[in-house]
Amino acid sequence: MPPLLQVKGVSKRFGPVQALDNVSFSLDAGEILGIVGENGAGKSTLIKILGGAYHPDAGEILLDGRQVTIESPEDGLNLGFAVIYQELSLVPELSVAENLFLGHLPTGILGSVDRKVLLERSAALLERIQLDVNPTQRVSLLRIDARQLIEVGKALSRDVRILIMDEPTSSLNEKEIAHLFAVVRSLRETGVAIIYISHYLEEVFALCDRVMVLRDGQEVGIRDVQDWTPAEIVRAMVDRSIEDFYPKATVQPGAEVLTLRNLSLTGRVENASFTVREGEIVGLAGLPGSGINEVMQMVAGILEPTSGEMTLLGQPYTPTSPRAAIARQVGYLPEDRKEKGLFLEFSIEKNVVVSILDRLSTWGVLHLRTMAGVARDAMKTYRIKAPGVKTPVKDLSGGNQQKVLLARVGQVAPRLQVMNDPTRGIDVGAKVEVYERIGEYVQQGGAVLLLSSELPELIGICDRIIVFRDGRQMADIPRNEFSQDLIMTYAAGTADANNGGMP
Amino acid sequence: MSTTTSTAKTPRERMGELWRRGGVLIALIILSGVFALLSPRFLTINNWLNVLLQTATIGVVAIGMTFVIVTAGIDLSVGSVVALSGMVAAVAMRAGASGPVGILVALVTGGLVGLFNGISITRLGVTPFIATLATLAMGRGLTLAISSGQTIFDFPPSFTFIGDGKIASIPMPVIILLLAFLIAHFVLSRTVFGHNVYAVGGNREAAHLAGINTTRTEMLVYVIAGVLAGLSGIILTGRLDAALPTSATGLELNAIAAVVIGGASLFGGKGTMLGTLLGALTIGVLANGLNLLNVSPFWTQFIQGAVIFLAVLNDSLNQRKKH
Repeated sequence: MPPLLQVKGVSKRFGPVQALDNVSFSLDAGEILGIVGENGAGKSTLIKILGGAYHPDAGEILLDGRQVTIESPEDGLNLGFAVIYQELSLVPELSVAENLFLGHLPTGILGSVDRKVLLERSAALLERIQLDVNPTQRVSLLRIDARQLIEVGKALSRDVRILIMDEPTSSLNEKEIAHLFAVVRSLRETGVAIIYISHYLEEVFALCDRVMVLRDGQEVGIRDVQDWTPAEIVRAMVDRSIEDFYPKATVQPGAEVLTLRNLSLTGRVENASFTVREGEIVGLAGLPGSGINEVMQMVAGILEPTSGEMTLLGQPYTPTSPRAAIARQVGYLPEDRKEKGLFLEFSIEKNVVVSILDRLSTWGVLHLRTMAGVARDAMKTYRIKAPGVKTPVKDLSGGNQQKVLLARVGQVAPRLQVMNDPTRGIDVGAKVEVYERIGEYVQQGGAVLLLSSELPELIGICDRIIVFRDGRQMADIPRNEFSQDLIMTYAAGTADANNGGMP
Repeated sequence: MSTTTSTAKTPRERMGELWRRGGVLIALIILSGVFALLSPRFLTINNWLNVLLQTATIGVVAIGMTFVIVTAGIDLSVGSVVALSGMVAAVAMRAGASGPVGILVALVTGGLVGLFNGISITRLGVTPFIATLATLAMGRGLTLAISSGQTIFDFPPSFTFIGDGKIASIPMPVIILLLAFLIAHFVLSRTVFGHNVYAVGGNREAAHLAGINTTRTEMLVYVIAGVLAGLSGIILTGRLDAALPTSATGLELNAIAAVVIGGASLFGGKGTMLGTLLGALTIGVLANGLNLLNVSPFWTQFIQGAVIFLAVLNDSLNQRKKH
């Protein structure tokens, strides 16, 4: 019997960019194939070809051994391909049931929607995706994880044979990821083939049967998952060795920069007490709901603590706004660079200097030449790859966008930076560069408070890791005692493995 | 897909970019050329001073509106504020106030309405559209109430000079429009406040986290719009030497149109004062030229609407190209 899907020599070119170059692979029913690669490696192009959004320049696609052409997304659906893109496609104002069967609602006489059949089928589908919601509920009232599952349900409503998921976990927490994985595994049992695109190697190892690595549009390795090691995958993705992956600068810690004493936020954080010194990178680890986000936001002036105190360089520190924190030279790097960090339409220059305009002006009048100079220096220091300081940040890659944010925070905060997941959703090469910049910063006497959704990252670059559970500080672990098991023991209360970003 | 921004542009792309950057200027030049060919009176200095004079009231209001729209806000109350501030000044002067005091009263009235808008938007969380729709109605009602619906005439020359006077044979409203434009252009492009205005409109959450006082910035923007509407009220009242309770009805829509024709986006973060000035001139030239050609005022209104449609269409096509 031929494999369910065969892709043979598919190529696609956009102007000067060879996005896909002679890529071939096959996929069996009931198999999960992971596809990894840096941004621009060709992952998105490949799934858009399978989904019918793009047409390949060369190559063929065989389904059950017969050649097919996918002219449009509608064709793709009819052939059994369903793509779940990163941007969800649900209609928030419609009910769960209507979303599940959008485009092919069961109809009764005169073409009116048959609500009874709709609700029955919806209930069955919801059971399949293990989601306990009322089918008549409006989607706008649901959380993001439920919406993600409804996207899966929507695909299932059309007799999907090949389900393609593009970075489905980027806005889910660990528990929600575990749920999604359970659903995906149960689909595999029923013979659905799954193509799973992810930035997170932990997820790929936890879920996939085989893994394909793309680099510069070419397939550079496809093996069963047990024949890969994470190091080998990274090497294949970036063509560089893993030893340099977590560059760790050794810095002798200096004077106390930030001290928390019994810092609390009613119902969310209880008595957080720790110190960050010059030259130190202190990590915050914890599961969602542990309170680490709130601790960061209190230090950054976004949330006001209900009790307890902070000192900064020996002086009392009570920031009431991000502006007040910045006035004390405490910088905050937000977790969602597009929503909370960047002005996408503005130039690199404007994005870099936005927090220090007061310093670059006299009586409110800006020194334009100084601004451009600061931005040019920052582009050099942070190795931002762009034609010039006037380039809009929306034209940059994710990694370079993140470096623009780092540069901004670097301008305001020579002493302390609070970083919320600084490498989220950027490719491996850019991650290494971010670690290098953080290393340089602490070598110059800066201090960093770091939150990350990836435990290996914390273990890789931190000097100490402070673990929270249910709003309480559980442990303050020095680098020589770091291990995933120990941290998870404190974070979860047990050492049980977890499929999410924190294995 | 990573696409490089440094790749050479085709002539067609270059034309596209030129159109995006200078579209309103090109449109204004073409429009003027057509009118110049069709009417010998169009290209005279007198006619151009007339165009500028007609543009002044809308132009001054549109300058304030630009600040508001760049923050992704909108101010529908400005037409009412023009009438109200003129009327309050008129009532004050009839009660014996001097011309300069009348001017001050009008500006303060405008500023206070702007402050009220700013407070309800930033502190009370009312959306700009609704908040200023309410002040539009309240302002007009107040104007009718304090004047008992009557027109008030006859003001001191020191007041009417603003709308009716000339310096070196240039009408005062034209001088005020150009001065207001130069100052506003400087503020928006060269000051910390101006950059904060763009930042608030570009991404409010990011602006807050980057340490910008978003509340103060937004508040100020509505106060500026109010004060400039007050200034426009002085010009209008002075030029007519009369305060009409129904004057400037619908002016807010022309002001918004000028800003949008000038290339600002109603989604915020984008727009320039030069664009707004050219946008206001486009509306003025259109009205003037069609008038010279004896086109019926009904059709003039239709054609103005069509021009606004084309400007907005151009903007949304550019937006779509980006995604």
